[in-house]
Amino acid sequence: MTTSYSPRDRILQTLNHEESDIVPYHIAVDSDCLDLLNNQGSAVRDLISRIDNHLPHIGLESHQHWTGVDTYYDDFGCVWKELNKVPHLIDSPLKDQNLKGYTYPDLLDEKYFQDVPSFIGEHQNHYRLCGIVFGYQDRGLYLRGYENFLSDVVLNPSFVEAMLEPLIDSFIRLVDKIALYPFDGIRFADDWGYQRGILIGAKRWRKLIYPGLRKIFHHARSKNLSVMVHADGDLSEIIPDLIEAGVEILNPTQPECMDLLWLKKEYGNHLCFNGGISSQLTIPRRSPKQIKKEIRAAMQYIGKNGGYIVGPAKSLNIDIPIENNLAVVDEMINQEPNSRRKKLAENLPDRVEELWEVYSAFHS
Amino acid sequence: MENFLNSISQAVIEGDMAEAQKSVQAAVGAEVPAGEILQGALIPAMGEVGRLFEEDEYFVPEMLIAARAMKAGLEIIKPLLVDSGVEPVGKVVIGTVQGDLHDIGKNLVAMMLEGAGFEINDIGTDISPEQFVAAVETGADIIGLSALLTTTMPSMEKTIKAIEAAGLRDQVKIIIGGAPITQEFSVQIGADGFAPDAIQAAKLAKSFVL
Repeated sequence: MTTSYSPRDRILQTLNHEESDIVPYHIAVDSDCLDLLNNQGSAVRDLISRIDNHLPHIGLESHQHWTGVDTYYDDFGCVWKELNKVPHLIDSPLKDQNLKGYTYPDLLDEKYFQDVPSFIGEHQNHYRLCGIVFGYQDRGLYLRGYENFLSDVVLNPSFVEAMLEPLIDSFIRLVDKIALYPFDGIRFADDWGYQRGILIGAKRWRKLIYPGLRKIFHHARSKNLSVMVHADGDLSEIIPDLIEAGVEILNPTQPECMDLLWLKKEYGNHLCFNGGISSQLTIPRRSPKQIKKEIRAAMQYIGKNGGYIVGPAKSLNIDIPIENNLAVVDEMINQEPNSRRKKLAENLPDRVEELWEVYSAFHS
Repeated sequence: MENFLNSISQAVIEGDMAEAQKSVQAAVGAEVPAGEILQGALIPAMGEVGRLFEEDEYFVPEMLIAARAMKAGLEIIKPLLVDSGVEPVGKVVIGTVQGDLHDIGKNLVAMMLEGAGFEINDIGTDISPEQFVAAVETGADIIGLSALLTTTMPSMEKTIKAIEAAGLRDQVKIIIGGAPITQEFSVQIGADGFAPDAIQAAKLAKSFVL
């Protein structure tokens, strides 16, 4: 008899570095892409309706105060312009290295929590995450503007510390409030990496960014909230720091930026990985067959002994060919049960080389 | 003269904009030729910054402040370069493609290319294929296309096709770059090259003209 676990069970198993009946998955899909897919006929609608994501989260983030058709400012006073529904920073409130007169928003405001009760109600069998999406290093970038912040970290790091300090306390108190709800963990979003490393340099990141993160994450763990981090790019140099800070799940683990086989081998006992399927190359530009091959490779290697929630590194969107999006969904939600999939792999030893080829291509 | 050039180089490498400006002014005041300031100090300084970046001693912030310092020094001698007939090694049109407002990568590449001796026409962000074509028609050896978003990558292909349709493809080299860009994508869309960072962009551009 096949055992079937709930999505929450599977996450608990994978966090415990145990394999479940299948590899848990999380497939983010942009809303307009979802609409498009649901208009592709009943068979596709049925497929999409069976997506039961394993890491649902509700994001606490700045509200938008619209000043024009496509322009708004957020609760921190940063100004954004939307192009094709993607926000772009166009102005920042801290023009000088001076916090005088600037007021940080109150992140405990009830307005951020309005949708939390219904989210909790809709995800009774799931590992529920509360997303902290205000940004930390990212918020520094937004408050000063990209170029100013990147100059500040070299020329005036004390100012950077002063600018980020109030956020540490805010986030710690926010964690206290999150802990009052039946959440299982927090999902902390902040982009420290870029394609080839840590944007401001690992040593500088450890001095300016890490101490605050450590306080926030340790506090979350003390409240029995697990810590999932969303951070793009190549984080290879700071993985030990993240583990020490209490991070348990790392997202999106872009294979174009990090060697996932190395990551699994070195840190697979200490960290869980979410994502791992190439959204820059494979999903948008390769064939459905190649996409499915990469997903199977990821589930086989990265999912070994648990510690993996498979998913596209970035959300599926309308610029991706429909058949590619459907290949992703089909392969993830219609998995062979683990027992059968592993048996198949055992009988095909040459698949080891085939699977290695998929990952090593990114890093050759 | 060497002392003046060393002071300028050091200021640029350290990202000290004020000192770079002061050192360039001092050199100009001492009648050091503008071409020497460019070739003997500013360009080699950016070369050294590039080396430090490639060896993971410098990161994006150091590269940015060095490029800013170089640019500030270059602004002082630009009129003198024109007067003395020093020619740029090539002309570059650079922009972020349609649908994308991110400019920091583009700005860094533009500064590195300027530091390598190129004349830059930075046409900004959210640039349509037609706008790129119009800029190329005013004169360019190289076009630089930047995109930070996976969703704006198709705009790169559309821009290259628009340049082909305008009959200008043979007249220019096209370099693409940005976080989601790969060598494979570059080949697929018919670009002449891909640069993973501003240092490589400058090297690639130089290889096209020198």
